[in-house]
Amino acid sequence: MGGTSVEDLKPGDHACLTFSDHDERLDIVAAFVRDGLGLGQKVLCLTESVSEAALAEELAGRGLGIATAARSGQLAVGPSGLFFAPQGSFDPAATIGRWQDQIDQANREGYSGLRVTGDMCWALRPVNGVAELMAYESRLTRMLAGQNATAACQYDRQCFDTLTLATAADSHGMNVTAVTYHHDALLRICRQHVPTGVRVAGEIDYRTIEPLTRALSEALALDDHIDVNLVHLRFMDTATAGVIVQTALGLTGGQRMNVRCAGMPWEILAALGLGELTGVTMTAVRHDG
Amino acid sequence: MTAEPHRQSQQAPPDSLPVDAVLLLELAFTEFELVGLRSAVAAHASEAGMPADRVDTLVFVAYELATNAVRHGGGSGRLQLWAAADVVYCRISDDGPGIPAGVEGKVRPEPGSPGSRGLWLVRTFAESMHIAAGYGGSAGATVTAMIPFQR
Repeated sequence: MGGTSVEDLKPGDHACLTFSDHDERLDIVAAFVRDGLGLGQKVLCLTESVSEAALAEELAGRGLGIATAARSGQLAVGPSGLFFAPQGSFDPAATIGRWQDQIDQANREGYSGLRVTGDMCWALRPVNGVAELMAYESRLTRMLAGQNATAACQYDRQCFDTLTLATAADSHGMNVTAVTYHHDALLRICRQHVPTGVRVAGEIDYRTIEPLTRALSEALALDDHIDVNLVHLRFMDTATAGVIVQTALGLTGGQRMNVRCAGMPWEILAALGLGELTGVTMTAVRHDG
Repeated sequence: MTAEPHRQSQQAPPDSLPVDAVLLLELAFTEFELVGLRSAVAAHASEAGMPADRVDTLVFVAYELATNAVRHGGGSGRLQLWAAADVVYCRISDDGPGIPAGVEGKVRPEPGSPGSRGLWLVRTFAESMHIAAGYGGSAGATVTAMIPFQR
């Protein structure tokens, strides 16, 4: 299931955004919002599993200057249930109508386009009309094509069943996923969009030196300042700690690397002297439990 | 006079463990068992009452020593885990060529130097680490590390 990177979305695109965990969702949503604001588009974030306040906080926490955009109305964060199923039922035609209203309004307000991302988990509830969801998604794909609007519908891989996910992938024009360097039951290595970097979660050892090295060098090719997010890394061996130290030693000129980690990975990297290297910052992160 | 005092002193006799040490786990491993070894060590040490952060340290130590046995000690080895009063001993033995002088991890490696970080890190995180020749004295390595419940 080849996916498109969120950064490649263009006006007219209707994407099915799938993700494996909370952090990955927020990272992709943050990139979607960042790119929209940067392009002068109006951005609408419809959320449900994450509260509106928490989403705004997460976006700000990732370094997006959203306060000004929220004040001016360029960015709006709202509940997805209200957009898709007001009064508790889902009406595809009415929802398509609301889309057209939003697009027209963004154009009238002088924005260069509209970007909407919606958390689709409302559809997991027994909402009246939800059986029409995939027909609606296909219709929305056709409706958005040629319009100055981009949509990314968030389908949580942990919550939706495989059949729904496959149908969702078909009814959208494209599939947006994290850029993944390695994924198995123990370990996931992904590109992190905001801030640019790499996210490694689970347990890592010498068998995945190659994808880790590739992920780090690709991140450095994209940005001079990368964030190495090891917050959810539970186990790290000496060989992979060595890859991080080597990457840090290879930093040139203005390149910088911030390594966020907890527990043994922090202790190992600190013992190896990572934090003493030029261009490296180490941030110890507390686990909430 | 004709004995080999040097080799003698490098041996780790079984009685170097406290008399009340209880064997928690014993398993043979090859490369394929390295991941499973991590969870087995964690489960048995937790069961013995070791605090979670110290279990993480122990798992790292056990895994690094086992990986050394797989990569440099002939491809396989044996792990033994004992618990005594608020400490866990982890012993890894293999039938490889033994650990050569100079790579026992006594000096912190330069950040850029390849290899030999593992044993230095094990020494750093373990309360003590003892290297001996394998059983029979002629071949192999036996490394015993001690991790206390409190750092």
